[in-house]
Amino acid sequence: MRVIIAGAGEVGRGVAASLRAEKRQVALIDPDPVAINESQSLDCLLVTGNALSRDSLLRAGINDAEIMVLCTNNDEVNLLGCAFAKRVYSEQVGDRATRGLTTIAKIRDPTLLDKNRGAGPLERWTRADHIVCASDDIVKQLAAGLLAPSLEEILPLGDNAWIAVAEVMQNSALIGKTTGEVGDWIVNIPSVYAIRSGDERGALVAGSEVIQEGDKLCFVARSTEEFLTITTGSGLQDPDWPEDPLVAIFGATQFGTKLAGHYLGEGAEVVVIEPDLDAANELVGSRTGNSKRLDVIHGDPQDGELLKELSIASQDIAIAALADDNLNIAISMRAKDKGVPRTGLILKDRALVEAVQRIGLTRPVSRRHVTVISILKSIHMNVPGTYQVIPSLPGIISISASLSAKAEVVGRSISDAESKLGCRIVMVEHEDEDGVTHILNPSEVDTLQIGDKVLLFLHLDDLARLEKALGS
Amino acid sequence: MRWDVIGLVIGWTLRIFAIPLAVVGAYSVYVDGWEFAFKTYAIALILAFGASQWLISKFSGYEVSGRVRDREAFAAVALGWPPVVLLGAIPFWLGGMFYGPFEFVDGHATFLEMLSGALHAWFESMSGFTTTGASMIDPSTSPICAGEFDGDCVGNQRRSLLLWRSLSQWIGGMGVIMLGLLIFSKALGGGMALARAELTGPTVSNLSTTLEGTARKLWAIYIGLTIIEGLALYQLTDMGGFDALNYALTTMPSGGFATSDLGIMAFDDSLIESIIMIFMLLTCINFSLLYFALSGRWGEVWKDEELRAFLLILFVAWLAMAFNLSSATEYTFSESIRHSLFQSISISSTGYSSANFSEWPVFSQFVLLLLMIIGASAGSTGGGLKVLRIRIAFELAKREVIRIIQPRKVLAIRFNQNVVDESRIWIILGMVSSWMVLVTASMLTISFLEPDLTLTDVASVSISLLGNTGPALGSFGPATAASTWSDLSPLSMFASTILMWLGRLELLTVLVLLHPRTWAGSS
Repeated sequence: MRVIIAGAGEVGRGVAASLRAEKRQVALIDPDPVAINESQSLDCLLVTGNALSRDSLLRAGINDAEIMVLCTNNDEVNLLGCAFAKRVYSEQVGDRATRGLTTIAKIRDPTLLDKNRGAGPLERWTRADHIVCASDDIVKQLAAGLLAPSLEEILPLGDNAWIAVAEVMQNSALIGKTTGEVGDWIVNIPSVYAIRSGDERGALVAGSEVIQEGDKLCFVARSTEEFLTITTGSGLQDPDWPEDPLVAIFGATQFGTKLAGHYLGEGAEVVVIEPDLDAANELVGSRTGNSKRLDVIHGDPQDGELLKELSIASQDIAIAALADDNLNIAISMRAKDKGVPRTGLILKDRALVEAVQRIGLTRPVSRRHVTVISILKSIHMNVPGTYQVIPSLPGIISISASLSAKAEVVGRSISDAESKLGCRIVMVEHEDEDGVTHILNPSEVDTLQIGDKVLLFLHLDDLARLEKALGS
Repeated sequence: MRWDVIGLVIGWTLRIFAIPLAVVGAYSVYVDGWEFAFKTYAIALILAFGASQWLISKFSGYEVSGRVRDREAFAAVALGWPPVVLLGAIPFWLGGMFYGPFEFVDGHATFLEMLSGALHAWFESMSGFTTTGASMIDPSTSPICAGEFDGDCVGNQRRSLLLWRSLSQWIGGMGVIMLGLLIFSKALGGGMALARAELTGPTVSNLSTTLEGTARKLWAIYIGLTIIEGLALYQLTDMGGFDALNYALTTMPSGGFATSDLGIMAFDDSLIESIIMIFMLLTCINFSLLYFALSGRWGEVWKDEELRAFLLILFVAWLAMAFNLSSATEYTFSESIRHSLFQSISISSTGYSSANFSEWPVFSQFVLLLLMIIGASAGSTGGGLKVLRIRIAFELAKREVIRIIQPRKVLAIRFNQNVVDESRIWIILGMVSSWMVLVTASMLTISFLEPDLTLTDVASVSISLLGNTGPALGSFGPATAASTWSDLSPLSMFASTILMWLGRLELLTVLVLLHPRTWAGSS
């Protein structure tokens, strides 16, 4: 069974690469020969053609496909492509209900999802099983990352948990201790679930690994307060989180607008600087623009006088969310130079994210990378729950799954389940007889039961085995 | 200039206008007899039918389905009103409400008095069709009350003429041309522009997919509310059938003509005042909202920012005046509450008076003057500048102040959560500034022509005429109004009618006529 991906851009190739790492068969369709050429190294079936062409779908092997991902640059093509793929699939396989084919469409314009102003709910009429619009995830990830900027990575894990990766500094109290005894040395620090030493791949911890300077430790924080213990324990330091932060956002783009909405929702005072008057007016005219705590300024984000006028140095957070990657880097660097304690930026190019991370001055988020993860999340939807790739710990992923009667780990203890699945269970959501959900630490669980939702870390290579063991 | 459009608009308007006139003529035959009815109404009817027939037959062959430009539609509407007012004045002149040719022939009036009578009739008709409600009827102008007469001058007028006077307000309230739209909107591409030119307020709500549908709904609400008010006054109070009909006909258009000199004051009945107050309040609300309310869409009604702002203004004005009246006049507390509430609603709407407010303390008079300026909601039959415009002008001022402090801040003016387009803001600003220029010009003119008037008289008269309120302050207050409007010099009187015309068509529609390009060829 294969996955067909229409669109061999950075997103399509990113999804293909991840799926190949899971040893899945992948076919890539794109009308652009250059894009096809750039995908040669992925070891996929490459088809030069169109997502809306019967011939292309047949050449990509639609009759043998289980998932069709549409991630071209055109939202309409992606939505239409879902219906078309199902049509061709049903003709080929004779499966009129097309239960055998899952379709996933990526869209860029979030207003399409809106029930009133857009065309949503799209799943109802487009025949797409999943619609991926990563803008919310991008905003969430950037906002989470800015909570504790000294941490290497903060990734949202559901609504109330975060994956936090911290680099162990020279002055850390954890140096020389084992991963299993972290809690004995630092009060209230969350457990370590994965580790990366030097240039090795990430590894799940067994508890006996000795922590060295420069190691990257992966924690799961259940509240933002735990970030402080993680940073302190790792020898890092962050400025205090202000009660009503002042936030400067450069660019009234889709992401700038969403970020403004996010921070306004948190009670912040937000100023958005936008060079294009039409875009500025659009933001002012939007629902977000109605807030009294929002100021929209029309001007050049690189204008020093304007930044001075806005007292950029007194801002608590500065985020560059313009369409131009280089401009975003320049602006966020400048804000950092001016003394803004938390700076972030949204980039298209994944390669630039690594470069900015290496400079280590600001918190970058790659739109394409988050989109890839969002698509992967949808691909792994048959393991219902959250799917998260941790870029700073290559090879390690996090996933959550509800245990059905078919799951092989039902009735087993946590340690049994971990050895059976080859993973680390981070927490268990258990619903009691009264219907109240409890979030439990693994140590609080005797045996896993049907209906429990487990959040676990595992090696990417073990994903297929895990899905099988969970009865998916 | 598209003369075909103007010809058709006037033609159809006169044809529509002739229908209620014929009804009143028939009523006159019944109550006054053939002779009076014929000499009073026949000429106006013949002229209306004849002119409409000629205009429609002359211009119906022209190609009018092409796009009618705004300026042509506006000019057509503006020019459509004077013929209606002129023909509407004829019964007042010929029927003996004012000195006319029959009084001249009988030797009861001089030639000059006859000419003055024509001007008085024109004023009364303009005041009626524009729903202003200022009246010329008093012993010095009306032959019925001449000499030793010491009774109710208005109340002694012929009933058919009083009915025609009330009906002129009722027709003018919703727009006589709007009524015509029901018939010929399909024939003219500029239907929406015509409606915009005549309806009060800066917006025309789309209650239906067609303009005809919208007009039909608005008229249905208007007629329905008039019937309900008339029945309520007749059934629930001691008011007679004729009075109930007349007050219903003059409340709904926010008119204000009464059937006696003292008007509502003559009844001194709180139930009558309450019923009229409810309907006056309804006339101050955008008719689209009334439609939404009738359709059960209450959410949209409560969400309307203009309505909420209007009610808040009214509430604050009511409380402020009630407090002022109870502390500074001989009114009891309950009287203060009653009169201040009635007057605060009335001044934005009909201009009826439950008390002689020209004798109230200066503070209360000033509040009334402010209410007169602000007026009612856009899309209602009420007068004034309209709450929406005042609010947007206020927001604009606020925006400019903020821009001085933060020149690069992008600010939007919102109304009902939606951003108000810059082009609409400019139209509103144009209207408000035109209003200020016209108020100033009319104050200068009236004060020059009437040296005996006080500053209060001049200012309130100008505001009242442009806002189509009716009564003003000072010596133009309710109890003395009947003896004062007629004291104006002929020139002031004529200028006043122009102000009423400007006010009814919200200034810009008429001001369009002053621009030379309006009169340029159709190319």
